[in-house]
Amino acid sequence: MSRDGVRPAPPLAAIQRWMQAVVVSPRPLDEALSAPEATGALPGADVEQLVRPSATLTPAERLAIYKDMYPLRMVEALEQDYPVLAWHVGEETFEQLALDYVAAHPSTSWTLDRLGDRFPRWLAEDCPREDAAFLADLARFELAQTEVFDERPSDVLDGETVARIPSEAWARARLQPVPALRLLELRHAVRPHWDAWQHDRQPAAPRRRATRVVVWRQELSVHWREQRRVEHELLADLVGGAPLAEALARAAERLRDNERDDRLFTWFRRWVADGLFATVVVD
Amino acid sequence: MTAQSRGNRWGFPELGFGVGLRTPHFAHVLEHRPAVDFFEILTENYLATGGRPAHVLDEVASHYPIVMHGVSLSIGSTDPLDFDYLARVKALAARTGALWISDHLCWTGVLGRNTHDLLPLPLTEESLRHVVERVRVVQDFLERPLMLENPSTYLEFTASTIPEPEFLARLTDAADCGLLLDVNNVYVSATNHGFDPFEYVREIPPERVTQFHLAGFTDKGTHLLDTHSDHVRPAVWDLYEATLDHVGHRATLLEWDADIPDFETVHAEVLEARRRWLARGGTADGPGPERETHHVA
Repeated sequence: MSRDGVRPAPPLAAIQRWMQAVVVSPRPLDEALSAPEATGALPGADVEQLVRPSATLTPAERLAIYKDMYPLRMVEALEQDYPVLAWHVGEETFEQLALDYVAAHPSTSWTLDRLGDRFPRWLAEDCPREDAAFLADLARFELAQTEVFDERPSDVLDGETVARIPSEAWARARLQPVPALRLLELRHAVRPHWDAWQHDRQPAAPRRRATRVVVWRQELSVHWREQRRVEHELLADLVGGAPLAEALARAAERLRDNERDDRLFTWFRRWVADGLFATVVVD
Repeated sequence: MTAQSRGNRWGFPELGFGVGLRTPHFAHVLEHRPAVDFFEILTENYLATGGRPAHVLDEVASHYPIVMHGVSLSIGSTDPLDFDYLARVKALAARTGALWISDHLCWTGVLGRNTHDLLPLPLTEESLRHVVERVRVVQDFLERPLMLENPSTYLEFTASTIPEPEFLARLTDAADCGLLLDVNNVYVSATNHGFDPFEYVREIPPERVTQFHLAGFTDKGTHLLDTHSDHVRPAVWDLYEATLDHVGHRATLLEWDADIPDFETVHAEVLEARRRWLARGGTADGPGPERETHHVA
């Protein structure tokens, strides 16, 4: 208190820490105002002394406008990134999951697009739900789609370039993937849940099944496909930088004699047609 | 006074009447090339994407003048400025040939967190010094003037000692920055705080204004919310006309961000602004689509 009896204005930094502590708190307003995060930011803070009333609202009610909008914004952002998961668990459950997650991993970025980056890991490691492992798989699947949607564009290997490479050079060749490509190994099926969301159907029950998925962007559209184990492992080898000859040899060992050449040729042709590779590098 | 343009501090061109570029309208804009004078983009939507939004933006920027409008600068925060973010903003402006960059007089978070809301500042001498200093740093980094928008606010701090229009006038003068005057926000805040919006507008220095925003609000009974979810309300049109009388014509942009209708409905709303400008003696000499895109060095 100053000598003339007027309380000096708190520093800007203290006001901001106090207001943020109240706005982002998962507790109701009255509890948030007396929580250590708020009182620690501005000791002795009293909302009546910090915020003016309006003709229609008390200081606390005015502060609550900001506080009420915060969770809505966070849930909406996560729902945009994880629509299939939200569809599966339903609105109310998703809202609670989202708020629990945001309380653990609040946004520290200039963009809300990065808010959900740790959602799959949080579901896998910190979510107490019985179906958390399934939800984590679903979230990984959806995060991969978001990532490839936003990835930088690149050149794409085409059939003509492939045809120009001398046959003797292929043994030393390495294929460089496009940036907008993700390979996922999941423990649960995802297609039934994708289909349920796409066609506005009742969510399917989770089913444990080893599922290997490639997610990629071709031109401006995001695609995904389930893969056989051998195809997925071969593609993972190539994406990891293995020379083509070595990767093919490993894949060939896992294929029956009568399907070997046909399978490998079909896969490679499909990968090139899908635009999964940017270029071929010959050592 | 008739509605004649008095120009702005930087001599930016008269852009005319534009629309905020939004995802639901991407296909329409690319296919029909509507006769819009300019587009405003939400800066953060294009800073870290190489997919469809980036492709659409490049197409739009090759046919229309672009201005950038951000929400994450957090110019009033007591956290350090984010120079990674600013570098991305600068690069995007160079890529799109954006005429100017704007953000809000607000803060979005402290202690490394982002609430992704436009939070109000206590309007004090300390806040003014703080924001002036940061605007100078940002402008030096971006190598161009920054435009700041008056936000809609839902509370006032008892610590505030400077009326908002005076704060803006002193800020823009001391930092030599510009003002994006959101007419809807003036009305929303005036209603929420009980001040006269017409008096507010009369205290704005015209030469600092480069752009107007118009939008629709939601009446919650006890207060107004700046939702950008509806047509411009009649009271805001009245305030817009009074603003034209005081400031003159500036690039006028219609924002519609929730319950977004078809493009023609949004476009018609900003054409209503144009009609009102012409009715007050303005001239229809704004640039249209396909005209040369202006680049600011």
